[in-house]
Amino acid sequence: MATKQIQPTEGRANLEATRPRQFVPPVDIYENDQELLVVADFPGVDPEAVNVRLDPPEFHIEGRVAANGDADVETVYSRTFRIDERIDGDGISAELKNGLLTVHLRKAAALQPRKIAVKAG
Amino acid sequence: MLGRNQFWNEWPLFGQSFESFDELRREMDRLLFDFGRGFRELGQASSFAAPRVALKDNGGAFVLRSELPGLTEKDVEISANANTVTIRAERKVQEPEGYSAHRRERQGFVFARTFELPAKIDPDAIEAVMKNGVLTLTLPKAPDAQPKRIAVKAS
Repeated sequence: MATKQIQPTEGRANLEATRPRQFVPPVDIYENDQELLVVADFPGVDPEAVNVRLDPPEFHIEGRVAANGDADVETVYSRTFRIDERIDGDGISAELKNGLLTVHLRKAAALQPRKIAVKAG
Repeated sequence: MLGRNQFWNEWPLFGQSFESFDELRREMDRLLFDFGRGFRELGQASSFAAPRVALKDNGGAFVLRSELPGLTEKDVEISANANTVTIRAERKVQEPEGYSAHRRERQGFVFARTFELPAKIDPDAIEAVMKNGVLTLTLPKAPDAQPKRIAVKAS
């Protein structure tokens, strides 16, 4: 009976120590007729450690930096945006360069402005 | 026997006094930055202050790491002497042409900071690497500042 009250706390302490550090990176979002352009600061993130996901209307970006000499725990950069614009799921491209994530989200074809030729009658 | 406080009074230059100065300087930097930011972005949410910097002592060398996303080795200037190292970097955030902005949280900055090191370094042996927008400076300590192992003799 008495043993029930004795609980090891190491497990809990370890859990606390291994929890990643969460960062909310600054993000710029631009738009033109063809696409939305998302730019985020992801310093120290390797291209393989980036996750970009569109689950309409939610758009999510995430980058991870493994624990290293500078940080004892993993660092996670993450943002989620609600995008009401209709996006072409196949027209998403992302690039990570010098710690800067750039994502192009092409608008669905139906929404792109079309030039209508006027025929001479 | 000397108590802890008496010990520090006897040796005021050892450790403690420097720490409190560093702490004060960090606090001042932060306050000044927060103060200015209110004017710069009026109401815009942002988690980005000045570039984050960490300085560590790994025994044989100091390691300074600074987050400079979007910058390359060409955008960073480093100078050093036996006691200090200075980093200069500038980031311009420009709206891409032909786009309109929905959200602008990323800030440009002119970053110039001099770090006074607590031990002499060898300025000729400094190594600087820029990777994924993170600058890592390795500043080896001068030979006479290297840690020494003291053998304890049995009597």
